Amino acid sequence: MKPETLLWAGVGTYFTVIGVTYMLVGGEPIGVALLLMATAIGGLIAGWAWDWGRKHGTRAEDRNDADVTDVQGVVGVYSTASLRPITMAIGVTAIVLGLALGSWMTIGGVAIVASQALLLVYDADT
Amino acid sequence: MTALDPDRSAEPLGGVDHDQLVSVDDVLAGGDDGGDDGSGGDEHGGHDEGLPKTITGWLTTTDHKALGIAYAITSLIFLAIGGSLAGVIRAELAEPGEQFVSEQLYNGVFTIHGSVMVYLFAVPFGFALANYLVPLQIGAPDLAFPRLNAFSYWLYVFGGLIMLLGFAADGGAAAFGWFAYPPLSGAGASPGLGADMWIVAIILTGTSGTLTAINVIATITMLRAPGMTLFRMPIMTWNLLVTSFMVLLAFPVLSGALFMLQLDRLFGFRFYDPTDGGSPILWQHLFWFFGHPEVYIVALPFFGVVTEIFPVFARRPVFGYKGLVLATLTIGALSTSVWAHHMFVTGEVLVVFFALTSALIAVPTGVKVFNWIGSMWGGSISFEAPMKFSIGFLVTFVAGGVTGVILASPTLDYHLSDSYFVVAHFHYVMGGTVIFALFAAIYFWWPKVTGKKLSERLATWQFWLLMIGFNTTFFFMHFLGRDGMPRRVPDYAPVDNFELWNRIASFGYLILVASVVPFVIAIVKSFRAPVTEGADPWEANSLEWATSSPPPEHNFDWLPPIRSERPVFDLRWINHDEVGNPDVAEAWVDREGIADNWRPLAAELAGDPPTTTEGDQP
Repeated sequence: MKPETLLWAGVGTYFTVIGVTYMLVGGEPIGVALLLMATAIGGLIAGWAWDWGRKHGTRAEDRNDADVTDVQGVVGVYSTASLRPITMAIGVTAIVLGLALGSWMTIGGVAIVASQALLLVYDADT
Repeated sequence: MTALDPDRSAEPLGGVDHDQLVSVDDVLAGGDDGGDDGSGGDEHGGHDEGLPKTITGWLTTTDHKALGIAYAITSLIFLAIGGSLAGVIRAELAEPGEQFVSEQLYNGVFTIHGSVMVYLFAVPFGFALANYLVPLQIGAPDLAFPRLNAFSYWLYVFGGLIMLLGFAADGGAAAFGWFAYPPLSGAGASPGLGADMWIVAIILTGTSGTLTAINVIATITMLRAPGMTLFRMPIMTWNLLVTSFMVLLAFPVLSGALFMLQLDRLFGFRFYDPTDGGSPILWQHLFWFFGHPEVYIVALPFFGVVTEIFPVFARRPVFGYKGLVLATLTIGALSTSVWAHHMFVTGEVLVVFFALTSALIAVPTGVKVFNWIGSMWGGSISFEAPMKFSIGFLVTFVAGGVTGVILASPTLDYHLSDSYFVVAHFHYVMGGTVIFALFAAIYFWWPKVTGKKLSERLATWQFWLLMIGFNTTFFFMHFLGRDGMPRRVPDYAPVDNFELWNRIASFGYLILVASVVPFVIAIVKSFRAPVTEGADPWEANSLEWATSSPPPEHNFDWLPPIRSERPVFDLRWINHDEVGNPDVAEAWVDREGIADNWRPLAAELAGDPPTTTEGDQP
């Protein structure tokens, strides 16, 4: 995970440098805030990658000499179909559209999202 | 060799007989039946590729390939809708005076045209590429979060539908341009429901994009195959990684800005109201902090497309791999620091800072162009459809880039801002390059998705009609802008050749429409044709060509050793140390005895003649 950590740390560093530079040359506060907050996004991923690497060590995908036989077993569990994504999307759309069309739609959307989030639990092993 | 009848057996291969190269199909056939005769298995995609076969299946699928195809089809439908709206614009502007639509409807048409093209076509087609290709290129079975991926797709679809339904709303669709400057986009100037629906639509599609970006970053970080280090990833995947980070940075800012706009409109907030402590300039900063990275969010996936294609059809390794990665990262970084060059005429920005960063971005972009040319230089180039469209991309992109440098100069920008010069510039940068690279991608990966190639002859027709039509439509808009014709007007005075340039542009639009015809015919013919292509029909480089066409469910039954950024090339040349990567041969020896799957190639390494099926002879 070291290359990923360095990559995202570099991103965070860039935004720190450009954000401070922009501030020093008299940039307006909106741009300064946006650039410095971008530092946080790069830093967040860098921090997560660093922590993951610290806990789990070097992975096969980071080694130049690794082959598929070095990592055997289940790669992951991947669902091939689920009704939840489309129904959740309908719910979220209703919530946001309700801002314009009326609170009844938002309430309906919240109900859909809540019910589908609960039903999502049953998707876990598919 | 001709463009229409490429004969790869005539290629100089350093004295090596083409038959001596290893065929991916032979390896897959050997692997499928576990035997060593090299003849087993379903070599032409007879397996279940895992795509849904019913409407319910498509509505509920979480498979990355199915969703990639769905993204591509949906975004192409939106391209057709956006293109049709462009037809209304060109019809109206073909002559001075009002012919077809009222001023209000015209405003709605160009607003939705721009919004559809930017938010619903160009960016989502990049997501189509990310969906389909990223797992295949890094050796993963799917994206990291398949349900989240499907959720993102449906948010995009619903967002798009809501935007278009705005035309049916009381007061018509949003009519304030795709960047929605307040106070024009405020409740006072744009009171209708259509404007609210537009805002909701962009919030939904923006959220969809953000979630897809998270998915792509997580996938590339956590699901690469062993040996697929960061610096062995295809440039396409690198570009999609950087694009995803830019999405992560830019889209939430837009969504936040739109929520604030909606609060202003519906609940009487004052974020953008200068009469009560707010500022319209705040919107411009927030919008363009999204809007300029957006240009590269649109472009970078297509930069990746041509970077995959040039080396394949020039029979050369990509020139300056690490330089291209660095250029991509630099473009990603700089593109977030140039936003206010869209605001020079407000007089409220640090002109020198943004002029400098805007000019600087030409450097990494120039590096890319240099590397693309370097990848072709001295190569054995053939002009199959993907290569033709990639070169078309290069031409239009450089033309658009040059006018971008002009607009980065504040002195010139003051004159050209909000004129047809800007329209011409961004149609070259965001329109032409995307369209050419999009078709390059379709022609290149169509055999992977379907197991069939599209007609070269029809592709040639399409290419030339597109090239002529595109330049006829947009080139003369530079003159219109230079002479002072403002954008977003339904009428103009017949002075300074405005009439002539507009008429030529409208005629060019008809040629552009005609260019779609050969493509549609090619697609229909392809659907009716049998599956004929193997895993690696172009003799390409990256990992998606190491699996069958179309790929099986969860992508790979087998993976070659990954010892460079072009594992399939290494596999093809494995018996020739002077060309192939010797580390790969060592990896094969290490594999021997581990499983029966590896036997066919091991036999070749031992000196047996290669097993090439008749159907694979060039």
